[in-house]
Amino acid sequence: MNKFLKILPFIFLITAATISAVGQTTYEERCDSVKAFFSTFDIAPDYFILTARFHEGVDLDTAVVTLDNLLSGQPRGDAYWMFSTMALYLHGAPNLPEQQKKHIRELWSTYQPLPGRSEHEHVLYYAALLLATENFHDMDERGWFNGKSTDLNHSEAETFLLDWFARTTEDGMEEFDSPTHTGFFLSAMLLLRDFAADQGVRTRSEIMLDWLLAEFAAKYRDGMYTGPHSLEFEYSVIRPRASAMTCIGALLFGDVELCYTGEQLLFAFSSYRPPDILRQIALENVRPHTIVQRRRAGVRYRNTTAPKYVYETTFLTPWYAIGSLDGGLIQPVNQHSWDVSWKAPIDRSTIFSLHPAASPELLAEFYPACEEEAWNTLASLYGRYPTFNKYVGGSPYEELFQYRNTLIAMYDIPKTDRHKLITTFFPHGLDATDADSTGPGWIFARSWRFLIGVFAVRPYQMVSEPAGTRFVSPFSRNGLIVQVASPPEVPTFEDFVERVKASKVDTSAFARKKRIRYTTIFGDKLEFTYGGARKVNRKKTRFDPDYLVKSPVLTSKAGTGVLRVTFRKDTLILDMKNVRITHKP
Amino acid sequence: MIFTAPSFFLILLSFVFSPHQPVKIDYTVEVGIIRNSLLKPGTKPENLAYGLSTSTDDGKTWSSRGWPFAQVRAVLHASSGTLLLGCDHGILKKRDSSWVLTSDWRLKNITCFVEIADAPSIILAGTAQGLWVSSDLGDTWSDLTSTLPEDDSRYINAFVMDPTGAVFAATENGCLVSNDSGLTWSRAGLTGERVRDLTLHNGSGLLAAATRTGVFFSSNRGKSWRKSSEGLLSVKMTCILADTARDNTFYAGTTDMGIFRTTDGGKTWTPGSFGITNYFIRSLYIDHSLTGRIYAGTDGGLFVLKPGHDKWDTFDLGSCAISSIHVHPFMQDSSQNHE
Repeated sequence: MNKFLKILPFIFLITAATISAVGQTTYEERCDSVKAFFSTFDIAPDYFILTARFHEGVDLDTAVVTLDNLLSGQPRGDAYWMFSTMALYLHGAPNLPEQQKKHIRELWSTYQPLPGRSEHEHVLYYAALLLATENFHDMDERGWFNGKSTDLNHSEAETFLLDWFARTTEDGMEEFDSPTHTGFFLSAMLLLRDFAADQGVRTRSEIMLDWLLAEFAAKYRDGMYTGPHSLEFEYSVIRPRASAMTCIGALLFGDVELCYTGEQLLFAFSSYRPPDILRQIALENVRPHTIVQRRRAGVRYRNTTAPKYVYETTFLTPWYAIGSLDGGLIQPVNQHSWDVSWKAPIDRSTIFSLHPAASPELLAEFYPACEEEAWNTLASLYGRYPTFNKYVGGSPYEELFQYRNTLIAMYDIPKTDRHKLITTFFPHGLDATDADSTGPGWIFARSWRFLIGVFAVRPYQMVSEPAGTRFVSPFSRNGLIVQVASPPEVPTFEDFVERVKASKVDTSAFARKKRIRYTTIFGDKLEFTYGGARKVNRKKTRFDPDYLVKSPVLTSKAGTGVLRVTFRKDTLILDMKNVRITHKP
Repeated sequence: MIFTAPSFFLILLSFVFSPHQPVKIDYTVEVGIIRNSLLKPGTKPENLAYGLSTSTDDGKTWSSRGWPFAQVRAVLHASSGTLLLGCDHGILKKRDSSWVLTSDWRLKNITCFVEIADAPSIILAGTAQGLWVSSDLGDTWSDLTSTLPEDDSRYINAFVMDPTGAVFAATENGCLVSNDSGLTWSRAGLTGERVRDLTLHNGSGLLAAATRTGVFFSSNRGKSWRKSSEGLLSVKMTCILADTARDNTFYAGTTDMGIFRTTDGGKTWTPGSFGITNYFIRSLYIDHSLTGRIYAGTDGGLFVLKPGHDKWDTFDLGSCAISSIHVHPFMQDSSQNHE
């Protein structure tokens, strides 16, 4: 099934109406707004709307008729369907008639949902299955869709979830930092935290919730989940305030206008209250700082000896965030390897580049089918995957080196590749732009307080498109230097341009040795060789493999299952191994 | 007079297909389907071709078993009567009138099965990420992946068993062989090649491998291989089939150029796809014992080559992608309708 259809119920309301009074409402008030919005929204055969209706007891007669229509159709959506029906079954319970409950249980007998391939689908599938086995008391062995007994289904679901809790907190997550998909994980954790029979599962789910939200809060800026994403859709990559996590951020932190997405309902109905330290980190952490994280690459079926980890660097100030993975391919279709995004009154406040790699062989590294099947299936599912002008996708021919607010991207694309070019997205609505020429050189831009210079190592063209201006540089061996800043780092745009132009760029060894040297406007000497060393002030840099995350506010040593969240004098310790949350004010 | 197995087979075949003695044989054609497809526009959902689809009237009508949206990559009819479907999401076992998912989340992306000849309760399942074993006819499974080399060899595409009981595995990094029912494995050549299928010509003992770069033959159980590409118009091979009734005859399927045939042990190949309308060949099957036909499962339908014909006929199975094909004697089975 089309992936977009599957997630439709979750995101269809993102651009709906908003409420005002930003920054003046409490979390409880915002939760009430969410409940009121969904329970009074035009009735539709949608599980979230119906869940809200039954939970809130609004116009139940119409809700019952609409639910009957929904249940009488052919179920579709696999794990998404399982999770949605369980959310309705549990949160709607007070007003859900027994006949409709029975109908849902019957569908769990006759419809055979598949667990899907991806991490979030598995988590939704097993969270729903665990809760179903704990609530469908009249199901015997022949009742379940998969022919297994209640006990076996429960045991498998619990084993999966316990394994996932441990793996994620000790070794990292595969689908990390996704502005859309993080919402699925949060939804699953909320439902488990609220309804799982076992206290251990409930506490672990709450630890996971806090953990995921701590990572989100640390990178949250002005409604955006900043930095690179293991996977994301094109729509929200070029509109960084148009994802489920924007609406969740608005609900949790209250700093931007509240928009609506189905996942918010699970927060609104839950007794879960996010620790205040997360809000403080999201909104009050004004000191420029760097977060470095070790990330798990996607499951490979071929080329399995490729590195299992990538490293993510995100540099944040109150005005902007620039983040990157260190390069390579971890998810071919939806990977977003680097971007800079900034606080501004435009919705597309982001710039990023990519090599639009696309081939059956690359897909087959990450999909179990053969090359041709992977290509036929995914190219039809993601129609823009093969195109040169797509906005998301990983490339094995891209390497990135970031030091604070400077990034060097290099590309060495084989002559045989489908697209021997790189593209860079510049949004419309920049306040000022300035470029030397279309040859190698600097392109400058300003957007509100944000200042950026992009040095094109090879000639390029600028092509105007509906979403923005696309920089296209049709050379296999290619590179960019990205320097960003904002006041007070540099007082004005003119000062910034002057300082950047005065900084030293050395690409003399680029053609022969694939090496770029650049002295930042802050005086740091960077040297980057494609496939080789990354140096800062002549010293080789090295990521510390012993840490899942290292930053002033988040610290986690790999293998410990412990995340230490620190801000000012507050400390929150999330200990998955000992199933303990400790808050030290 | 001593009959070897193949020659006895030939005599039996010549008897069965003698033009002077027409014999009516009831048989079931059974195909594993990867991608569901409607038979015809407007077809009712109950007539969806999916899972394991079977026909007992020479392909005129089909009925489907298994889960409607499961992608079936491998089918095993064990000698005990056990029927297993290897799917992307796990293993389905026929139990009474229903299908039970006998695997958990760790066992998925099943590509192939093999039943150990001298211990029929033992079944190996090859997957895109490793190897699993069941010693209770597929009810429970144990992970044997750690017995494989830590590289792309853990993607197993196919098994073939030789008369000594050795199991050869076609993997994404060459061939492996096990002489102890899968407990230990050693390299059997073609390291670095993405081997998509293996077949053994029982008569000559010739082992043939279909790879992403062409066809290879080994006459010494994988110790050495020779490449065979003369006449092949594509080297992107998907499957290979030994015609054990004919010396040195093999059929090879490709992703883009249909089927090729050799009658000289791979010295030369000739195109053999006349009548086939989808050139992405996914599976090949020869039915020696009942009809003498060769079947080709493609990415868009099922085709059959009847004895003495040179043009493939199509079955009315829609544009399903066919992963596996079996033909066996017809048995009345009341549970063959939708389950």
